[in-house]
Amino acid sequence: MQFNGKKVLLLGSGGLRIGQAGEFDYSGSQAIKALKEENIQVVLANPNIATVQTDAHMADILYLQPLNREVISQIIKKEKPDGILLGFGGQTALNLGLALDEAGILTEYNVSVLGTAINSIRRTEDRDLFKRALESIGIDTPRSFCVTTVEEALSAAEEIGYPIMMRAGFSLGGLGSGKISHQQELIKRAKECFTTVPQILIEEYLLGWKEFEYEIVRDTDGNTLTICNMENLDPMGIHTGESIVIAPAQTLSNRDHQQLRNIAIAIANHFKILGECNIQFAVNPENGSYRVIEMNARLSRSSALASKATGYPLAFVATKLGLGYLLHEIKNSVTQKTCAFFEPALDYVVLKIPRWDTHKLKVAERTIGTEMKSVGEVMAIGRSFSESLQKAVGMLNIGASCLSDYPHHIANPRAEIEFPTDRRLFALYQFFLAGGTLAEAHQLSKIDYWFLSHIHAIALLENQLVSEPLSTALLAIAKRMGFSDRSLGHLTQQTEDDIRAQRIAANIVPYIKQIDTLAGEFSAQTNYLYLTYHGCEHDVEPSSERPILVLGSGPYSIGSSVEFDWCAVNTSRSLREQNRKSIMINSNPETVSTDYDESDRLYFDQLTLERVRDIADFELPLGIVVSVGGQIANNLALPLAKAGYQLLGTSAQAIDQAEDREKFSALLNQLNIDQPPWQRATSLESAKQFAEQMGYPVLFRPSYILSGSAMNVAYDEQSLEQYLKEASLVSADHPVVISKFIQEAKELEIDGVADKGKIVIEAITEHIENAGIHSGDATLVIPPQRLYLETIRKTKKITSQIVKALQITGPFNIQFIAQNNFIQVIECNLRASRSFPFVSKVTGYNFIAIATRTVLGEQTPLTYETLELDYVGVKVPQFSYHRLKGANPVANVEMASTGEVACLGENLHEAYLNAWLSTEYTLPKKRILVSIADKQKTKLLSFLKHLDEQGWVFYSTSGTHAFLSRNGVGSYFIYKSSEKREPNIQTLIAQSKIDLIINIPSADGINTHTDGYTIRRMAVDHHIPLITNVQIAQIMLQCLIDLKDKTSGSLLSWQEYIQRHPASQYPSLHVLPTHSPSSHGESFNHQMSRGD
Amino acid sequence: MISQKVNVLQNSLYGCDIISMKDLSLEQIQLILQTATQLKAKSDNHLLSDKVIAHCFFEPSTRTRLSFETATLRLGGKVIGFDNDESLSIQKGETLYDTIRVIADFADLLIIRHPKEGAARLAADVSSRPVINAGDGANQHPTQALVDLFTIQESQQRLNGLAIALVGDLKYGRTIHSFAQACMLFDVRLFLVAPDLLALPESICDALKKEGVRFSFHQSIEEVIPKVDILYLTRIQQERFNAAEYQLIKKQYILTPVMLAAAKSNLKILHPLPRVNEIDIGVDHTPYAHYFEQATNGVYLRQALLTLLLNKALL
Repeated sequence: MQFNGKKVLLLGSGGLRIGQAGEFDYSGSQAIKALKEENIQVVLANPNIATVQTDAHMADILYLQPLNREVISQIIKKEKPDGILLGFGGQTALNLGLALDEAGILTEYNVSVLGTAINSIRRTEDRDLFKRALESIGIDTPRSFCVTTVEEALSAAEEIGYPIMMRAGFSLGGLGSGKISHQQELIKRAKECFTTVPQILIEEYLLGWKEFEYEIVRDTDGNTLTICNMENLDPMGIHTGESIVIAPAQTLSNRDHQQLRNIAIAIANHFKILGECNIQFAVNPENGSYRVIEMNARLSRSSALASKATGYPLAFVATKLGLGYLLHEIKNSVTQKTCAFFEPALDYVVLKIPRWDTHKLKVAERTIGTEMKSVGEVMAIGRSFSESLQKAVGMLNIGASCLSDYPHHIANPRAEIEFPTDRRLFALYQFFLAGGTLAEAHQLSKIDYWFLSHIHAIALLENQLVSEPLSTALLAIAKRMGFSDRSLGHLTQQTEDDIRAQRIAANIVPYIKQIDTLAGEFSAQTNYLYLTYHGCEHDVEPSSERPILVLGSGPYSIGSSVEFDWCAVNTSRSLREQNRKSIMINSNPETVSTDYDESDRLYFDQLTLERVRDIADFELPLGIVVSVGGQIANNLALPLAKAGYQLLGTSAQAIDQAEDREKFSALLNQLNIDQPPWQRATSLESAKQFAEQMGYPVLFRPSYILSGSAMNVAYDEQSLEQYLKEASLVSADHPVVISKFIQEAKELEIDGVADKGKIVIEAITEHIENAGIHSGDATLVIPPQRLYLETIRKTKKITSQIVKALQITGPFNIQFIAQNNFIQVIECNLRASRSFPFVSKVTGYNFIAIATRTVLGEQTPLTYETLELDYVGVKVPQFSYHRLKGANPVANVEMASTGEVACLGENLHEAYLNAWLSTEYTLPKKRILVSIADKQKTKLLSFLKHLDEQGWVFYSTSGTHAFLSRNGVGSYFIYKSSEKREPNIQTLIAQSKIDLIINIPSADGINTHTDGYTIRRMAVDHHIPLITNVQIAQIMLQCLIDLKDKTSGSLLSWQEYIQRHPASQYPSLHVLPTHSPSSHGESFNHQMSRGD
Repeated sequence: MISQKVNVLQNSLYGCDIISMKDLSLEQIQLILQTATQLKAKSDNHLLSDKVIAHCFFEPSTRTRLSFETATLRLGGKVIGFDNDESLSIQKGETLYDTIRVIADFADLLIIRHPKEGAARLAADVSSRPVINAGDGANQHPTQALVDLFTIQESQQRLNGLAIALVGDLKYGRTIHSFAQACMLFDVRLFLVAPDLLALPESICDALKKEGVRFSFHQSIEEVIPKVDILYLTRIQQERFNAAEYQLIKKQYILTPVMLAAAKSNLKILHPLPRVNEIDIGVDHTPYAHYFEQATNGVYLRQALLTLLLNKALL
């Protein structure tokens, strides 16, 4: 059964989106490592340029290409891999694998599927087949009917009785699933589902049942292990991805646990799982009866969590098992001493809390349920439930350092407990604080008493803390229950520093514990660490050589995602290349930076001032890198420096000077650099006065921003007033800044690295969209294709002035707007930006490796060519609007995208189209719906004329119809939804008669009571590609025009492009020369970080 | 293409009036075209042998009248009627109502051409016999539209998916109005080429829009020539403009052979005739010219109509 092939194709998961996030960078990266250990050549297909797996030293051959059947077939034809891995790229890779198999591609090219056989996968994915398979071995599943029409759905629901559970087959993250209480709702929801899936399931509704998951590995001989079992704090009714999850399960009796474990193993055996799978159970709390809810015959979000929770490298082991190894033949690389054939034992408690950003998407509903909405998660490790729970809260980066100091008062906690929102946990806490009873909390939430009583106990302790003096004994209890120094300070009218001093004086300090996967039963070497107050000694000594601390990204959220994990991982690797000891701190289980082998020591812990100090006080690092983890790490720069810790790179004072609007503005004035007029809004009156003086629209923002948190545009006085009320909630310490909102201008960015005020490397990126779209939602192009040389020259000059003035050492990012060579600076970050992986991988220079060497003072001066490339890289945002019912899918100043993809191409249009297709869009056939705001109509006319001549078919609403016919373009007229007449836009979309929707709203695009909103929302709900920006429409339409003359060009790998770099001598894969001659006869160095 | 289904249908046109294209269903049009095709292939000259057809032309007409007369005679029918109203009793004050009442008692079918919009409809309401509208003012000319459809189908082997340019006087041209009406039953793309003063009436544009016909407005013939399968020209009447305007417009709306350089190979040029100078005679010798065939087809199409209105059985 041993796989003897030499080349394996690995399918990635594409752009990060709700339901499919960073966990697949972790699993794919481990798979690559496992394959390379076997000397197997790895071909990776994944357009997600921000991931670690798409790094130069990971796969041997990388395709930044759309993950669709056509492209992957071409890759298979070209690369002729011997095997393919489908289980490491989430549902995307699995579905793609099934499609390739159905199309006969795998057979035709003799590609064997490594791991679980494709027929088994199919049987686990098709709900009806799955159910019947389990029935055949006597395992209970919920009563259910698989239906293919609305009528069948209705009669099935009658049979079971309402409420029922509806699930869509073949979906990721439970999309289209939900509780249905009555017939009308079922008709509506079933119709929606049938537009995307051929079958749905009508099931018995298991409200309030407990939910458990088991992670299983199995080898080709049938040896099977349960690696981890996990319990959802939130009972059935809330998607696992939306639940607080605890490992190991806490409320299960041993008998029940053994029963579920045996069933899980029986299922894995029945489907002949080869590698990894997970199985979800519902258990009736009344009588212990169970139902098997779901099974994933692939790596999943849960398996990533289980892997981080236990220290058992599931993805790595699963890959080896897929190659035919037996469990006892695989070494446990965490312990270095044992083999993989053991079930991990946990002497700690792990807790995951999802991170939601629903509040950012103003209109989206905040309730949570059976569909996934969260964008990230944190995982806390502690030695009591309370400690882990409160640690996890402090990791979320939502303004709370533990339960006690959640910044929002919940007006009606009962409602949010009964009908859960993303803040149900805080509702419970506030409910208990106010004297609410356990019985009522249980009755409302159905959450097990065991969990509730712990939360209740924390609330009781808080009440005690405010009523009693803080004795040493009380302080010790509070710390063991997870209270932060900051919240204890709040509760006792002291500062965070006072509390810290008091507890250190009393020797109340956290102890460092190892995760050895063996509960300490055998001695083990492990560098996987966490801190707890339930202890009396450290498991490890401080690092023998003074290390460097790298602060990771924390939870993924809108605006801070896998790109910062890439930065952290590359920093750690570069440090080790420079023979430094690296220590990683991160709290996010979906990351590669929290892999045991990516740093010399890993602290899976909080990125808070308190915890970083605890670790730094123990490890005595040479310095702390705060510039690669995004804004969470960056915000710690000033407090850490004030507390006396050594930062590596740009000084905290300079960071503050760039972050603080007033200081930065003063600096620009001093340097004679232009900036949009702005003012600090201290009162409504002064804000109004400024707006009238400058003219609407105006932009509002808090000083410390990321993802435009609470940024907003006011188009008139009324929205201005409304905004100011909202903004005051955001941050009391940092008042609101108001500035002129400029739209008719180009936007560009410079990413770079500087050394003591001198630029080492820089790359200019051009935005396709005009200014006014958040840079995280913008489409980026490198090298710039449409900028004046004058603009480039001026921008570079301004950059060098700022770099010099702030004496930058390390990574930076500056954003500009340009109107006919009039350049203004709009933002400056003295840290790695989200576009660092993009510019690194397009130019072929690893900006993070350069930055790391620079902050160490070990960078040799070199010249880098980032402008003259004979290919183009385009990065486009990946949105998750279809997950967020009601959200308005129009990009604006608030960031809304959850991920990104990027592709290379011979020219702008080729690269753009590939990138666009990589965001799960399919090429439009011939039918386009156009509905364009008056101001923008003429901008699209020439493109539409071209397409009209090529036989494309347009549908348009009245204003656009009149405009087009007047200008020689014919289109089918359709009524707006509010006109309620046929042919109506709603009918057309519902019947999927449209392949692409171009809806360019006017300034009221943010309004949701318009026909435009209805069109956009329907487009998203029916999975029809949607374009809402006029510059994007232009480029996309040009791509469609170009299709006519497009011969199916050869598909190039990333390596094939990069080798064409004028300064590049990329001979091949992992080993790069330090110095290589260039065509100019100069000596160039473009060390990418070297893998082993 | 005419579907097989048509053959199993009853002749739904028997005894009907043909007043406006609006009255005809897609199936009926297909039946008419199919019958015309059959008659063109093999003429049967006995179909109207015992019928008297009244040709009532209240305004002068050459082509339409002769076309109808030929059609009648070829099928063995007899013709009665008049070709202008000067000699008529209406001149003496008789109402149209009375005229039609009387003629309807003489003939088996009435063909009416009248300068007033709506006259044909009135005649049909009065007459106990089928009435065919041969043109009522600027309103409708349904038989011409049917001839156009017949000719287009014959030359392009289809009626759906075509790009058709309508050129010239789109405001007053009744053939255009009837043709536009007919287009609503098919998936065609219309290019409307006319000076602003002679643009297609808004009511028709609105109807086209709501009936799902794609159209666009253009100022020059040359711009649309490369895009279309059918170029349908009409006469621009001098009297609608002042002299200066007419000179300008005349130049723009004259089709010459050079303008056809970019034409698609299957392009066919139609014109209801008479032409004045909209089409340079040089065009007549190009493979695109199809207006004389169009005129010839008029006879077959009208034979088909007469046959269907007066015979219960299908051919």
